[in-house]
Amino acid sequence: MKKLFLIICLGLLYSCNKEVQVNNLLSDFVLSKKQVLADGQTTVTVSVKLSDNSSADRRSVIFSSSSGIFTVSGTKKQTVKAEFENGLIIAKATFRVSMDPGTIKITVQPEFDSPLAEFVLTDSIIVAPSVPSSIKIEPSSFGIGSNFINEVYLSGFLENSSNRYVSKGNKVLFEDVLLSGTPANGRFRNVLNFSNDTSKVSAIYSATILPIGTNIKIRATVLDNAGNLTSIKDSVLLTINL
Amino acid sequence: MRKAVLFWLFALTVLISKAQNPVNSESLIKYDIGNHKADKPIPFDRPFTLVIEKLSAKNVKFIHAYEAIYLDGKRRLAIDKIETFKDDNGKQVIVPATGKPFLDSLSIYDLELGFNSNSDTLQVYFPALKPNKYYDINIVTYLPDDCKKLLMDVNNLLADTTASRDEAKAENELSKTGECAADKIFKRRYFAVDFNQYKSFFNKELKKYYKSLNDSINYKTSPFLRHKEIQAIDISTTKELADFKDGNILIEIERLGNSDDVQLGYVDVKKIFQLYLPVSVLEANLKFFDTIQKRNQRVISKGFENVTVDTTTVSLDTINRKVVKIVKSIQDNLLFLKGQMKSINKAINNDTRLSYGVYLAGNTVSSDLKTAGGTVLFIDAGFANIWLPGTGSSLSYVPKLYTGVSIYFRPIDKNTRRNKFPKNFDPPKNTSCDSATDCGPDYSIVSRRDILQNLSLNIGLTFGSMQNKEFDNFYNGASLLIGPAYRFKRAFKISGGVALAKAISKNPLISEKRVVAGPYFSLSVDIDFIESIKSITSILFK
Repeated sequence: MKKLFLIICLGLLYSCNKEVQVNNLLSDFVLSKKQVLADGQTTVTVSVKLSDNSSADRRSVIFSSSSGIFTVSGTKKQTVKAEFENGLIIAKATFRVSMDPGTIKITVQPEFDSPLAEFVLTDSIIVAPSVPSSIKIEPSSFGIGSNFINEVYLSGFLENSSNRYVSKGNKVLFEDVLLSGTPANGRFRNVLNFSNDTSKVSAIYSATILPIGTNIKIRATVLDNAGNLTSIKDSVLLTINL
Repeated sequence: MRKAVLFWLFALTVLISKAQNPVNSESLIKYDIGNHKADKPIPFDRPFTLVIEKLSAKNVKFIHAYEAIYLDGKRRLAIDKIETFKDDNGKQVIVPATGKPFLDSLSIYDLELGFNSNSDTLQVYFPALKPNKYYDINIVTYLPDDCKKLLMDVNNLLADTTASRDEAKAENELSKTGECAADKIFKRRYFAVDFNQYKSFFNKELKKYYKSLNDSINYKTSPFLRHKEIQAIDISTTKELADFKDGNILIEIERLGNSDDVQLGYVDVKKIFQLYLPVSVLEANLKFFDTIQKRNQRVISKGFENVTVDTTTVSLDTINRKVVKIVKSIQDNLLFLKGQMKSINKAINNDTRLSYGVYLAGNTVSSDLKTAGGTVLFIDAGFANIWLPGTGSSLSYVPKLYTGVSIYFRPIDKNTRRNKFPKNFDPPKNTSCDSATDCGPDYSIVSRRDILQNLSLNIGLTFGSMQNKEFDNFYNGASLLIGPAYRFKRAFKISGGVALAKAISKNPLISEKRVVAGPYFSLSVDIDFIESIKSITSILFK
């Protein structure tokens, strides 16, 4: 009888299992880069190790980010099925940073929702601004009509020192001057003077009454955060032909 | 209406029904002493009467039951072997000892059995016995006649007060008596005296009777018939009745002059040269002279008074008076002898050491004197309340129907109740004693109120799927219940213990459900009871 009672007690104790911590599920959450430029082109590899006793049908995890996108899903979330890599169960994804500087929070969690708790691992990437080091202006046409008879589309492309995109919001100043240095007094419309997510600025220009053959210099200058002109600039010549 | 009547008839039958049998026995079992076979299995946990045919209850002194076991292929009296030793005070102590060689004679009897002493067929009353027990019955009776004759020879030798008394021969005769009294097959005996003990018994209990028997003052003799008187009987009765064929016997007695021996029983008139025990001789002689008396009286009744023999007239009345006196002397002597013998027999019968035992079962390989081994498995069905550990911190309540097997730790007759068994034995159990004959009863084979009659191990399987999706059944659509169970009111059972089921893992990366154990409490009813209810309801509501 004593043995029976002992067996019953052991059976009950057997069921008192320990609480599960996130480290029992996911570990070794690794980001290939911790600091990147917000150029919209840099990619970061994220990986996590799943516990060895995970079931084959439960080896999918969800990576998510506060900004940027995962390359496969094209969104801020990607579900990845872990695979064996050197004997370890590893889930891996590639993340592309956005052009917004700041801190990107990356999380990973099991795909299967536990009714007990949320099991999430979090890490972050510091995204530094991608500062322009050059700008190139491209007109839609080198000839332009006088007296606002037609318009020329101007686009500017900014690049950083690595010839990659610059962060969004870099301000550019469009100007038109005659070769003599006096203002050409043409008009700009639809001016997008902050760099967008393709590192571009743009404007539509039309000239005032000027004699045919007059050259107008369109100049784009990158401004600093305080709005002061920098040395990073580019220009094109437009000629009055009508 | 018909259903209502049927229902109440059934209810009344159940409520007032009671076994109709003598002395609380629930069954009669016939036992054939010839082949040691019972006509049906001997029950356990139920009192019964064993009817032993071909064995009379008239001479039975007492009946003891002994537990028996098989040891090295032989059936032995199970004891609870006892051994003797001296304690610190030098007192001899006999205690049961285990692991020692068996000594059947030291076995402690388990039970003194009641019997019907007024029946020609021995009926032995048994209380409820434990299951799977071998036992022997020892029926102790008075010494049978052949053994008693041998003992009388011993007495005759011991009663000899002359210098030629042969004690060696008496001891030898006593040994023969012991052999005679021993069981013919098993050699166990209840003739438990040695020569010195018997001499003490004789001197204390029997000597006075033998002294009286040897004293001539206690006997009577009357004058015998004269030769002419014998002839007168012959003449008168042959002529008037029939030929007097026994006349020569009377003539021979008269010639030998031993008529006193005839009246004292030393001589059988029919076998006049042989010696017999006085009682039987006197009975024969009494019958003989009674015949002569009647013969003579019939002639007198025909009107004859005298008979002339060789010119001598003999009075038939005188002859008749003489014969009557002789008959009276023999009668008195016979009464005296019988009285003395009765006293001697009584003294012998009253001494429990001078007995004869008939053993049933004994040392044979017969297993018939064995209580039946009942089943230890019973099926029942009921309702279980289960509390299982899920993913949360508290236990989840899971009610389930289940069917189970009760495994008892001893065979069970489920129709018996605990209160049928004694809580304590009367007289109390006695295994410690100062001598082997004091030991017992130890009640090893008798059922006593015991928790094991109600306690069992319950192994149950639930049926039906789990409503709570956190859990799943343990195996093949059933969860397992294991725990002790207690039977009450014969058919009902409560149980508590461990329930085994499966629960989802707290680890979301693991899809396999893990085995979890939780406490359960259940109430169930015997499946046979459910079946009987079904049959009743089918009658009432068909």
